[in-house]
Amino acid sequence: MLFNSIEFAIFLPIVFILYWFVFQKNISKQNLLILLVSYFFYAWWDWRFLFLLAFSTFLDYFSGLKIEQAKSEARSKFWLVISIGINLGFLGFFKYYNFFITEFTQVIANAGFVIDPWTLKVILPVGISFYTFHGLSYIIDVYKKRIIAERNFVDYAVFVSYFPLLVAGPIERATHLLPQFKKPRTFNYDQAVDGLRQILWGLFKKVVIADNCAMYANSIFNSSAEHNGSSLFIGALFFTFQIYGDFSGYSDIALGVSRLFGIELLRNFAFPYFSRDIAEFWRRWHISLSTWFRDYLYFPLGGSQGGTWMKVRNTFIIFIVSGFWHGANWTFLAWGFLNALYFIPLLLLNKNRDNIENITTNKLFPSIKEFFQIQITFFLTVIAWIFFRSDSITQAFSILNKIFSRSFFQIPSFIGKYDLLYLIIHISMIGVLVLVEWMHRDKKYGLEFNQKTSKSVVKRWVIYAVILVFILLFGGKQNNFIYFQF
Amino acid sequence: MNKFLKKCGLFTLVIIILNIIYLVVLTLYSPGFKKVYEISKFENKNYQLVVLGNSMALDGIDTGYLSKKGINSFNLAIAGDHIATSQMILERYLKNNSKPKYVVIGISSAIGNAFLNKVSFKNPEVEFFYNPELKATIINPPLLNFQWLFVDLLKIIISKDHREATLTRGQWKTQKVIADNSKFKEHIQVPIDYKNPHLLKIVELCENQNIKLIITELPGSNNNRNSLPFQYDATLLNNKKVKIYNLNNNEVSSRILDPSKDWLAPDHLNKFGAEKVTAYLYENVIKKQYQK
Repeated sequence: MLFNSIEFAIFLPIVFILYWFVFQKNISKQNLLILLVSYFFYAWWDWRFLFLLAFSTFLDYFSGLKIEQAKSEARSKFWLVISIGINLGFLGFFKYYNFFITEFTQVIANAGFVIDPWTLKVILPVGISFYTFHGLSYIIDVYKKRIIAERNFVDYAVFVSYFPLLVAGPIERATHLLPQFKKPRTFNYDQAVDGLRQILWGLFKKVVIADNCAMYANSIFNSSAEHNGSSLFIGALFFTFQIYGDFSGYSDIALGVSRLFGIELLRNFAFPYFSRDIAEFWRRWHISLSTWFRDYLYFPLGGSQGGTWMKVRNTFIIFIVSGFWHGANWTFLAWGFLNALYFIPLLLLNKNRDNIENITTNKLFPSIKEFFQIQITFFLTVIAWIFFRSDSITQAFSILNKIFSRSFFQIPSFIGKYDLLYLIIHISMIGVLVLVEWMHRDKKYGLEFNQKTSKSVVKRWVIYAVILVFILLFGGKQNNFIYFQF
Repeated sequence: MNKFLKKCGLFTLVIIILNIIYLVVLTLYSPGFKKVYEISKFENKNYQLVVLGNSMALDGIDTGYLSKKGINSFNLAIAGDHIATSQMILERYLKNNSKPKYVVIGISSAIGNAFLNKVSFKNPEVEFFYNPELKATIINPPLLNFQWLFVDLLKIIISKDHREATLTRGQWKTQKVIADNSKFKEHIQVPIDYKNPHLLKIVELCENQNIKLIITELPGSNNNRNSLPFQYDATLLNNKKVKIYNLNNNEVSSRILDPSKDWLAPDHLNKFGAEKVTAYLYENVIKKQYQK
């Protein structure tokens, strides 16, 4: 069930009414309701993978208890390893089996041997990377004694399978989310209205920005050999906005939906394209994943505490693993590697924490220096996205070759293929996105405002109406969310 | 909670009002939308010739010209149409009006042969007026369902050519000129697949009612033309043969049309091109049949 589908528009109000009007006095029943509807939500894609979700949930729940009850460190570690091993085993099998077997075959073939490997038509269960990471964070936190193991199976299962975040995050932590399911919820008007507003903004980003940009980006990348450098660069720009609109739009909808149920999720995006350096970009892009890798991989590896070599090694590891998390393709590894290359100079010069605060908080425009910093960071990001979007490393390099050639200065070859007015409208919509998010860059999301102080009721409702009209009139063809495949 | 529910209700009301406003605007200012509404309400019309097809037939067959030649004609073609919708339009027309002597189907041989696509798709405007359903309108509210008509309205606002275009006897007539600079590609000669169930239904309907059916492949831009003969037989779904008048034959199209003056967009004829093509069709096909 997609967030931007008619099915979800029917599903959500029904769950909302049951949650607040039928089960509002009993948190156990509310949690059980959320668990059941979350499984229903997941089964809408493929009910067969519910067993995998349920098994993974039970495994981590059981392992958590065993780790806590273990009388020795060795026993505790045994259950930790079992849980992590099985979780990563499932993830590896569904996501990476065919990749490794194909690559292995290629290596063997290069050595002069021909083998016929056992490849499988593996369907990737939606959201497996996300709920596996939920489970892993819980198990590690229990092992590290940051939290106590959850006794109530329903509460734990809701933490893993809570429908707003089940298929594409944010990747939650037990320390943040579980306590919210343990305490009674009361309906908060301001929180719910803010949630609806965040959903509206998320829909704008997904339907108007991402789905329209996808049309151009797909067309250009799918026939990249036919296009000149300027077209390919514009294609990369479209993809840059597509992936941002798609994933941050999804995250906004997820956070907004969750707020309707009185549950706050972790923030996942903080206007990353206004970053002044790559380090800042990574503090603002897919925050829940970046912090996950920081806490459960980078810090355990020693983080930036050791010598230069260790810093560099850990940075490469975290970025390459992060790239590989996105999918079984060398292009994702290259994307991670390139980002590590961007990051290393900042780390070595100790400048990776220079830009912690929001940019030009009290001014409308950035300084010239900041403006150029933003442009350079954005450009580097666009180049990295070319690897992410390409089907192969060869395609990525061929695109880069053309971009850094004379054909970059030619009239874009893709233009004649589209109605110019549509193109102007779609580019204008990107302009609206950038403008609104720049104006609200100190807020939690693009459309956030304090309804008690900021704008009159009429102005607010006019803004809602305009965005609604944009969504309906300029919405692109429905596309799946990109991050569902991860 | 009550306050929140009231706001949700108000928001829903805003959505409904915006959609109603949009419908009113379309009814007042969108020629395409008005045309579909009007043809859905046709009663007791006695046109001798009606045209079916998508935007290429809508722009490209000059029913005013045919009427001047003594054949009272109307262009029922709708932009973005599929043959399934054309069938629906023809059935309604035959139910409420006098039987025409001719039905002309203008086949677009360009843009991926969308008109005869194996997978039927519904034209939103035709569905809205011919099969009105509340459920469908809620799932696909007008603002969403008629997106492209808004862009069309914008074109009317910003473009003089669009403002000055007219709908005459159902034909979209514009003087706008965009030259066709494309080149003929010899290799594009794949015949259109006419094995379409909706086309077969139209053929049978015309046969049963003794209506002469003229199927013509309309000229496309140079790069979308073919080398098939001007007249050839195509095979229908029931393996019957049907005659095709192929105006998209490169030699014929090149003889009739001026690439620098007769096009308003790729594969779409302006009023000058439409008149030339219709005159050719009249002289070489319709007139001969009329005289029989």
